[in-house]
Amino acid sequence: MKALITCLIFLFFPLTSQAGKVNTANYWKCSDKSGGSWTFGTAPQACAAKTFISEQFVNNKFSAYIFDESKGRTSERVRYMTELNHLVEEAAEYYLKKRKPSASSTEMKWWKRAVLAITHQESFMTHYREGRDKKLRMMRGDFGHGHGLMQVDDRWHFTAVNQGRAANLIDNLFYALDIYYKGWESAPSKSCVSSKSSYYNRARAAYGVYNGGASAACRFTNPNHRWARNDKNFKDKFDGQSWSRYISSSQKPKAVNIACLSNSSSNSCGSTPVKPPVVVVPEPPTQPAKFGKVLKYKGLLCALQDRSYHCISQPEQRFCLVNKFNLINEVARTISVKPVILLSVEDVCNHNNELLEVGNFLEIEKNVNLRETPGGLLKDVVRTGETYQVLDVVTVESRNNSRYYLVKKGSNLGYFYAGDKDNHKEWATKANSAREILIPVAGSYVSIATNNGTNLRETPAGTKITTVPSKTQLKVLSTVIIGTTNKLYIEVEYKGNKGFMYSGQIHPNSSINNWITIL
Amino acid sequence: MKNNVNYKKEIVISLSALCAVSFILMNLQAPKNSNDFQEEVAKIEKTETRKPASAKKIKKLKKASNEKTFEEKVAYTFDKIRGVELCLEVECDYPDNDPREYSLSVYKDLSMRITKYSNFWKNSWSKMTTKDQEFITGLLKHDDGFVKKEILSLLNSLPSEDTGKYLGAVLNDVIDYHDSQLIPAALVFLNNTQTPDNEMLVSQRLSAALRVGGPHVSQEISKGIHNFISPNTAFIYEATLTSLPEEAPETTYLMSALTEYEMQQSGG
Repeated sequence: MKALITCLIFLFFPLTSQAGKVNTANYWKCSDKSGGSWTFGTAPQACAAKTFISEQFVNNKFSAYIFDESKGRTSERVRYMTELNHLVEEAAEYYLKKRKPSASSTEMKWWKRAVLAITHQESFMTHYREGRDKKLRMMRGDFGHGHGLMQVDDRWHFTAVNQGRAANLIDNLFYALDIYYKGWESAPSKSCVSSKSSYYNRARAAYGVYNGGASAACRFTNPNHRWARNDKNFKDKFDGQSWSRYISSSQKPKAVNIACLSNSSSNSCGSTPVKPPVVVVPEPPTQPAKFGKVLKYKGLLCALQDRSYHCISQPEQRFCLVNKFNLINEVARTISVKPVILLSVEDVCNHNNELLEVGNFLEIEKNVNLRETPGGLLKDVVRTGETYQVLDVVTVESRNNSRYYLVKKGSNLGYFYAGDKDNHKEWATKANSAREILIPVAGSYVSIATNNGTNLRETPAGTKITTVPSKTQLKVLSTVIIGTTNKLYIEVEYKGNKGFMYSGQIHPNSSINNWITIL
Repeated sequence: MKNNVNYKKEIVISLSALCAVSFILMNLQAPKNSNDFQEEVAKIEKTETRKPASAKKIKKLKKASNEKTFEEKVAYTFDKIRGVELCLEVECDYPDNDPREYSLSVYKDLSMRITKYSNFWKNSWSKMTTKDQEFITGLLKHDDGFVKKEILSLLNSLPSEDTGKYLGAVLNDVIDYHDSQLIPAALVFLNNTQTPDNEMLVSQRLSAALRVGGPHVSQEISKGIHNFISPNTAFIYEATLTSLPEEAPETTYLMSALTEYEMQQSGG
């Protein structure tokens, strides 16, 4: 009888694999569903974007690529298409340059056209849109299984979709281009593509691989193939380029920085690439600045005060710098001398907005998603009442000081949205302790974890005083956290010398345990 | 009452037989149009039957299966995997409702069978032959992330002295592939396999993937790159950093790893 029951179970509930297809329901995780029309930018259907990505992140980073349905459709479509077409072209170029630095300009031209044709074929170039109800939605085709611009399918790409990769416009595009590029590169070896420079057939063969798998490269040569209509549709779009009819000749699209847009750690992307921060070497300036504007030194933005340059390493904190030093909000010039004082986010931004600092403790006031980066992949959910230590702070000045805190839940490090300067208490409040302490606080004790000891320095990264041997136990007098990777320095006293010891980075990969053990 | 019991017994037996036959039929992926393929799989299906079978016969078959030697079990699973692989070349009975469903379904089946195959080897690594190793390396070439994931899982359970044989395959077919979800497991494998003799090769290939790999692959590699920076390889990554896009995520992670490495070298 047991065998019969087991057998019946197998019959009606077929074996499922951890790998492969996940049988998500039609319109899985679809709230606020709305329709659409088969035109550029508004293809049906659409579901709430917030299920898979932070709305604040989308509004901040991708605002130009949100179709606003409350505006006149005709003019809004032209605006949207002008922006999106430019973004797709730039992203396609970025992708091919990265994968194939030797690509010729002719290859690039055909590649970009092919990528645009796929976005037309897959979604009518539709991704984000904001309804008259002001809700942000993302396109969901094929009974809700296809997500966004490139229709990433939640049944076959469940993990990526569930983590939010398909909801991020650039991630969605790159995810699909990985497959198209594979077809593009393998196409010249197929019988239906005579040479590498047969770009027309190469684009069609690559589409076959993209749409039907590796064996479908030459599918387009068989008009009787079951899926021949897909190849014909792609060809029609590739030939017609009808999207170009919606692109304004007078509207100049917003400049894009694809590297920055692809970096979900950064909250805003200007048009000018900013160099990464440098290790600061103190060197007093000899000439005072003449203008009260923001100054630039490599990746740092600086203000001159009292003959010293006060700099920040995170460009998105520029507004804080402007406010703190009463500067004119313009970048005046690049300075050639080295900056003196590197300020932390807390130093520059913590005026009147009650921003928590790295090392502080907080209590969660409402359930909110925990993401790998502020707009990145979903890792977990932090829940009401849970307490954490703040490991990093990211703020968006242009959005009312909205903020994200980095915390560790279980084995996951992640950021959660914690409101803006007006409503942050509804999201998280300061607490006196947390379940897990990852950064030592003043008054606590640590032991040196390095095998060869750690240098004690006069200032963070300053002149060496001595080396503190391994396993020495010390009382923490204070902590200093600097730089974009949140380098932790602890102030201690060893054999009568007060000084600072490097104690690891906090993120993106925490290395504190390699340097100290919190006792 | 007695008749009733017999009647119930008959129902149970009939249903059992029906279930067993249906189950076998469901799990056999019959080819549609290839005589060659029919011949190929005929030997694989020797122990299975499409004819109605009694519960007794099924039990007998099961018993026979249990009596197989380790080598026979491996060979049986090996043949089952080969049978599924052939379905990538000829049409079998897998769903085909959208252009990709067929091949993805074959790969799904393949990855399930690889899981079973992997289970045989646990604690029996010493019995693995060159043929088995070549078979595993060949499976890693399949253009499917789920199949590669299963193989990586198998490789990560190997004793560390046996992993070097697969280094080239992992570099070629995982690091150079486009599925970023495989990278964390691949980096675990590479970290376990890294020796003074091959660390330059590993770092050169990781560096290449950072520069010209897919954006998501580059990003995932950069997250774990700190384990591969050593006095012998640091210069490779320092050179790589200068060629990466300035605000790309892989740049952030690599720069962070190099900074941490420099701090370690200087004693903080």
